[in-house]
Amino acid sequence: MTDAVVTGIGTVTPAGGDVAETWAALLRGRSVIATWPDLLAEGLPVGVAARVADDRLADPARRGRDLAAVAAGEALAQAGLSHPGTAGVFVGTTMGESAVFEQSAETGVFDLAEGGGDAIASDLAARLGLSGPVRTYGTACAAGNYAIGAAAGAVEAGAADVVLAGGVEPFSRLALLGFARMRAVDPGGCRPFGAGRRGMTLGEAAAFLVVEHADHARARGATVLARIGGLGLAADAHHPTAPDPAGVGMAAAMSAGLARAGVEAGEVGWVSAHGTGTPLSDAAEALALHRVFGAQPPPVSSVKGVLGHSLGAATAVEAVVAVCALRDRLLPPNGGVDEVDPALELDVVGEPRPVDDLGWVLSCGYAFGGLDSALLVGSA
Amino acid sequence: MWDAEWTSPELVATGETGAGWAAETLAAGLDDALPDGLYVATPDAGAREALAFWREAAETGFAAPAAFPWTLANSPTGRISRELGITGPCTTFVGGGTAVEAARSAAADDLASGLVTRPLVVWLRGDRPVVATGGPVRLLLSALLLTTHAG
Repeated sequence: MTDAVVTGIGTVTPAGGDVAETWAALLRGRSVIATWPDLLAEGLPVGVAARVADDRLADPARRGRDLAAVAAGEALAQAGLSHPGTAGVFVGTTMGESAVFEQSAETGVFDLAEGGGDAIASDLAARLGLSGPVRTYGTACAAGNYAIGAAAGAVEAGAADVVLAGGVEPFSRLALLGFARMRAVDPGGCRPFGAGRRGMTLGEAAAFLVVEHADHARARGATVLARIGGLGLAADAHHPTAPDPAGVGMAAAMSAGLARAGVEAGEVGWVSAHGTGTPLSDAAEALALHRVFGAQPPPVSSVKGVLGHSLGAATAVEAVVAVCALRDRLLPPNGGVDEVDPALELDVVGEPRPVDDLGWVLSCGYAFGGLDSALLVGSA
Repeated sequence: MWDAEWTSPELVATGETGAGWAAETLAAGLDDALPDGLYVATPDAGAREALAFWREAAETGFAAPAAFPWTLANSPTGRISRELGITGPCTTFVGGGTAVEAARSAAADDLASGLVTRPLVVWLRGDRPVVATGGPVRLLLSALLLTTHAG
């Protein structure tokens, strides 16, 4: 187990402009996925999405950087770090500033420094005047987990006392088109682990955690919200987009995470699943959970039925949600789903479920290319 | 410790062309010394493909579904992991020189902790800046395979 702890969390999601609003929406279990006429008017084949409506995000070409600044500001304020100085910034993202790519088709101009994935981390470090290590993890739908796990490793190794770690994904028309063309979008909205599920719903979000060494947090009198146990990584080596249908790589990442954290499977009180709502991925994830936990895996929820899938930000949002669940000893429901697929044989959380001792949360995320991750987040 | 460098012929940034070249080049170069972890640093993987994908959609109203996965920065990582059968940690670091150092450092840390025994560090980038109009590009590929003295 690492000595990394979480002292601040912040997020902006389609359900709200901060952690409190997002957590409350998840507990209600009511999806914020909607049909957006402007997307259809632009000629995109799908208008169903989960988008952030926030006046603080005025410039489409800077949307990712502005989302990041809002979420990071909330996390730093909670941590009591108004001038974090030597902190590092580790960001996971899939598309970077997608609008910069999209605008280039009209303008004929493209600047990688403005649109590329590392634009967000660099901008955040500059805005906050941070002098620590700056890293960008481009592992698509699992990128947030990679950033948070690496941050825990960095503070453990003494490379930084504090790392602002998370994920950012502004809404991407390019990704919406891509997923729609691949027939991976459920026209009725994402239904993770649901009977008759047909695919994902694209979202957008930013989420950050202040990750610091336990000694550093203790020395400055910070309130510890949670511990980062460790990150497990594995690869399917199977297919460009489809998961290994047996869930072998997913299970390997879960087992690696448990081993790295020194946590027994029985100590996991909740699985914050990848749960995209695609038939293959949810089925493979269920098999993976049975491989690791046996016949009765811990209770499982996905936030994507409420918030949509925010790609590189998704696992960072889910890490923030894990901290809320640990804090309140309350499992959020698997929203947006009326009927769970019985074939998966999972205990899918249907209503907010109080628990006496949550122990550890296993937060899972998998990316195109068969790149699998599982992060252990534990009680303070 | 093993390291090498390659330059591709001119490649058109669509589909898996670049990632496939990198994966097949590494497979040929590594022979039997197969790695068990992969750490790819790149400033621009997927960027040219993303521009081409969106431009095609804007110009023709059609975007090939099979092209979309190659717009992602981690697409070479996935392609290399499949080519070499790597099932351990596979991470993509986006950026310039600091990304290379982060990749090398992560590989060394994982080797030291026993998480992997033969981590492969890869540096993949185009030979010229990414521009909106696309066009053929040569890819530059560098690789470093770390092992312990015993390995």
